Amino acid sequence: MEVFEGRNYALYPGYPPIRLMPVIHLTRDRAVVDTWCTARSSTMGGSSTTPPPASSEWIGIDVGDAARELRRVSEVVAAFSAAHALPQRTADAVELVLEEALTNVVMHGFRAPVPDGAAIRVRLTREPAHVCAEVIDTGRAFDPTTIPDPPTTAPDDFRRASGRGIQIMRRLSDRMSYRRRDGWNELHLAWRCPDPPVGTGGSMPKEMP
Amino acid sequence: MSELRVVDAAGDVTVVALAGRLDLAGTEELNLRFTAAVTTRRRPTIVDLSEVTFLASLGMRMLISAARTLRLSGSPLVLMNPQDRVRDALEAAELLDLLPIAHGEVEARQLVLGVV
Repeated sequence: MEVFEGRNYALYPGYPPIRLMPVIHLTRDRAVVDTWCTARSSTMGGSSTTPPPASSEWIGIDVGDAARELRRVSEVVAAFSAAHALPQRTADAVELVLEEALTNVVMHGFRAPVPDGAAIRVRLTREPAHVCAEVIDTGRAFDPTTIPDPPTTAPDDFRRASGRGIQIMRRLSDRMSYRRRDGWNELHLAWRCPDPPVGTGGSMPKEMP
Repeated sequence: MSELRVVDAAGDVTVVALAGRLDLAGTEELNLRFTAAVTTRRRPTIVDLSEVTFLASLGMRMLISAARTLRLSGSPLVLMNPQDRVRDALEAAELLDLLPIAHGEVEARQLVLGVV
C-alpha cells in the first residue's frame, strides 16, 4: 500500500497534528483501505501516550451463544468508548443501537439449526467527526432501514407497543445504511462526534435531516 | 447479572425492583419471574428501575407485556426512578405514555392509585 506522508495529517486549530491512518477492511477475500481514521501522532508534538487504535478488531459473534456474546460486545463498546473519551450519551447510544442491531440478527437472521457457516461480525471505528459501527452477517437478507416506525401509540393502546428495536436504532443513531453484498448483510451506523470530544455532557444524537 | 426483588406483595400496590441489565440475557433470565410476580396479583404495580443499568427493546417488551396484562384487570403499572440512559431509551421508543415514570415512591403511589 502506498502512503503519501505529505497528505496523511489533519490539522485542526488549537490541536496537535493528527496522523491519518488507513483502516484496512479484511472481510472475506480482500484487504482494502475503506476509510481513514485519526490517531494522535507522538512524533509531531502530540500526546506522548500511546493512542488507542482507531478501529476495534472485528468482533466475531457465536450465534449459538448470543446472549453471552452480546454482553461481550457491550464490554468492547464500553472499552472503546472509554479509550476514545466519547461523551457518555454517545457511548450509551452506540451500545444500545448495537444491542438492537445484533438482537435482530440473532433472533431473525438465522433459522434453527444455525448453519455451520453462520457468521456475525462487528467493528467500531473512530473517525474525525464520527463514531462508526459496522455489523455484517451471513443471515437472511434484511434491510432494517426500510422498516417504518410503528404508529404512535395511544396512552392506553398496548397492541402495537412491541417491536421498537429498529425505531430505537433510528432515533439513537445519526446515520444508518444497508447493503447486501456477496451473501452478507452490511449495516453501517454512524454517530456525530467531533474529535477531540467537545461538550462531554452533550445531547443525545438526533436524526440527520 | 440481572436481579428481581419483590419489595411488597401484600399491600394494595405491588412493588417490584429490578436491577442490572435488561438486555437479551437479562430479559431471558427475569422474564418469567417478573411476569409471575407482577401479573398474578393483578394489583396496581410499581416497578423500581433505579438499579437497572441498561434497557433494550426486549426488556421494554417484558414491561409492556406485564402492563398490558394488568390493564385487562384495570390496574396500572408505573416505572419508578429510571436512570437517565434508561429513560432516554424509553423516550426513543416513544413508550413514555404507555409506561409512565414517577420520581420517588410517593409520586409513584399517587400515580398508580390514580390520586393525581
